[in-house]
Amino acid sequence: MKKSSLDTTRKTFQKIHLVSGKGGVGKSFLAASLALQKAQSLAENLARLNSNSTSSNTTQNAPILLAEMIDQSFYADYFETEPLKLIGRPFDKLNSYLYMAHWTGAECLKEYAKYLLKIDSLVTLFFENPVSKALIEVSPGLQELALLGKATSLPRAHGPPLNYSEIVFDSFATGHFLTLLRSPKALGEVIQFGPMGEQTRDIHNWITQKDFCEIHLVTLPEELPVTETLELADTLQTEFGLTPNIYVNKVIQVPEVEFHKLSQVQPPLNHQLIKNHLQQQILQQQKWIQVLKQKYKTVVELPLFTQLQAIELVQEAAKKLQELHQQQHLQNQNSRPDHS
Amino acid sequence: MKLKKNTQTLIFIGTGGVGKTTLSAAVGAGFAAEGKKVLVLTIDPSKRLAQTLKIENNGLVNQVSDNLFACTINHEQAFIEFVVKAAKSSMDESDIKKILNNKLFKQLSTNLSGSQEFTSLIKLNEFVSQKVYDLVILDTPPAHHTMNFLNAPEKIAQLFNEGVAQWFREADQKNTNLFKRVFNIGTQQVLAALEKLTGAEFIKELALFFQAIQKWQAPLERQINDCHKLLISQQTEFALVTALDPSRLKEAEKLSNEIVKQGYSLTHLIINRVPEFISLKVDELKAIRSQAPTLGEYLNYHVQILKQLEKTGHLAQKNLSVYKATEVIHNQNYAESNLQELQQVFKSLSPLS
Repeated sequence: MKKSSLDTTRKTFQKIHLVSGKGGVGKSFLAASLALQKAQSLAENLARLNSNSTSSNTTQNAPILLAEMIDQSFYADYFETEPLKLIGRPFDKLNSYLYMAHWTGAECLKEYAKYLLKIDSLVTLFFENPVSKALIEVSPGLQELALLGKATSLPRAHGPPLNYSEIVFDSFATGHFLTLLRSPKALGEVIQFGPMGEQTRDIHNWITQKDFCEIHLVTLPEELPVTETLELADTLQTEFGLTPNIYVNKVIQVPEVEFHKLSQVQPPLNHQLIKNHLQQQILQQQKWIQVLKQKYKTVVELPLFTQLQAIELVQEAAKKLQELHQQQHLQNQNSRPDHS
Repeated sequence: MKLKKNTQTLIFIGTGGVGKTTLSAAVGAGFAAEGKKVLVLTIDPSKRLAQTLKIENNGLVNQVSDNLFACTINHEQAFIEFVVKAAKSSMDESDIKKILNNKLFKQLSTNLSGSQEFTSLIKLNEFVSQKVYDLVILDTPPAHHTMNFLNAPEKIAQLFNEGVAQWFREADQKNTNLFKRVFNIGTQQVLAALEKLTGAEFIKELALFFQAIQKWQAPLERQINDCHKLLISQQTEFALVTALDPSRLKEAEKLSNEIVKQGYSLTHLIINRVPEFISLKVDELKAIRSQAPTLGEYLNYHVQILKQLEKTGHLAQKNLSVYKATEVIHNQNYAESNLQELQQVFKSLSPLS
């Protein structure tokens, strides 16, 4: 067993992204769109670089993984695809460089046990046992630790191979997300010795490393989600020293002029009803977006997409994310002092 | 909205972000206005709702009006109360103290109360058995799969069944009986693996934990059975809340199939936050789109979603009433205590044709 390095100044090319937010705001949607945008970028870059050369096997050019941490798969239904497993599988319907996987705490723990104990039959005996199953279910933080352990396995050089250039996690909603991030430290106190105990400190160090782990919070332009997002972002900064990226989902972007045109519609309709409702809604939305922008400079606004099918929806969103990403990139270039 | 004659319990289920909490309070307010004595158990209400219902996060019941009572469940408190109550019948003070101070138990209670499902169910059972209210309404924690809520009691029961406890008690003792030694080889191997993963300290803690709760198992099982009985009772109805969004409606369909398959009585489906302009006709939409394309697209989107819903089997399900609740956009942060607003939402519930 390789001894893990606690030296976190050691760099890795891999990046992981944890997506969280209040339940129901569109975390899974954003995570999938973000992963697709990255896969598309990767595909473009590789096409430009490799016209003749054989595909490089470095981590830098390895595919993107979209992994969901929820106990029962959301993506299997959302994308109407076969059940996903711990090991990633390319999802060609979106992009061949985009792999999808379903990580449950229990499966990660089992995989880790197999890696550690080497004897498969022993591991099976342990995990197929109702006692163990019950313990794993209710043990606080154990599954969460296993998830983060697997998520950080590449830089820690500890665990089965995880060769992806970037991993986007559709992670838990706010409360559970904090439990997830706190699990290494929490469990480190109970399990101080043995391989798991040592690893907990290593895992915590990598999770809090800015160059390796990025956090993305999704919200809606409404009171409850925004309030929760600000509280969560605050906690992330004070407790872990991490500054999250903020995404606002389902923003209604209707040009003002179109409201005027309503009154011209033939046959005349009760446009006042529509106008009042929508304008009020837009006003409220903008108010909450401003609240966010007061604290966080980069707030990404995603419009309400009107695609009804998940695949098209995610494709539209990935396009938009790429557009906004390029805009931001240009802005950064233009603001550089040495720009001629 | 109508309930069955003998219904005493109404449980609201659904994924997060659909306005379940406010809606459950609104329905409570509505039935209270009709003369029923109603208790609304909420989870994590918004500031506005908490103000309207005059509740604080202390687990106490507040009287909102003549017939309406409300309470926010304090999960940590609820779990400790539950343990103490269940233990009292068969354990003495010092034993109970031992459990509450056990390191593992402390973490366990944080974890279990953190997930909120189990404690919501305990509290619900407690209030319903008091037989003080005509109707008790429970707003459940948001979950992608409500089965988490429904299975919460079983998860805990698994941990405390006699087999488990025996395991760890044996691990801590020296067995001289040959038969027991043989019987234990498998157990020993597994515990050795666990020890390798977690360290000897953890195993010791586990053994102590199981010894401490040994006397608690029977009363716990009784409580859990009661909770389960309540869920499948003829006097309990489930209401599924969803929103006008393709992904949410799909989730709702799956959820309702699961619930019904398990034998729970799902009798209401409520589509929340439906905009008033949903009644626009095809030619009106066309006209709008030609003049104002973005606006038209947006309006059409909502109408299309509703059309899709009408095509699904949902509405054809017998014994299921489907309603829509109209969206109210709030201009203020904190409305002056607005019980009327809640009653309006209840009145706005109209059956979907």
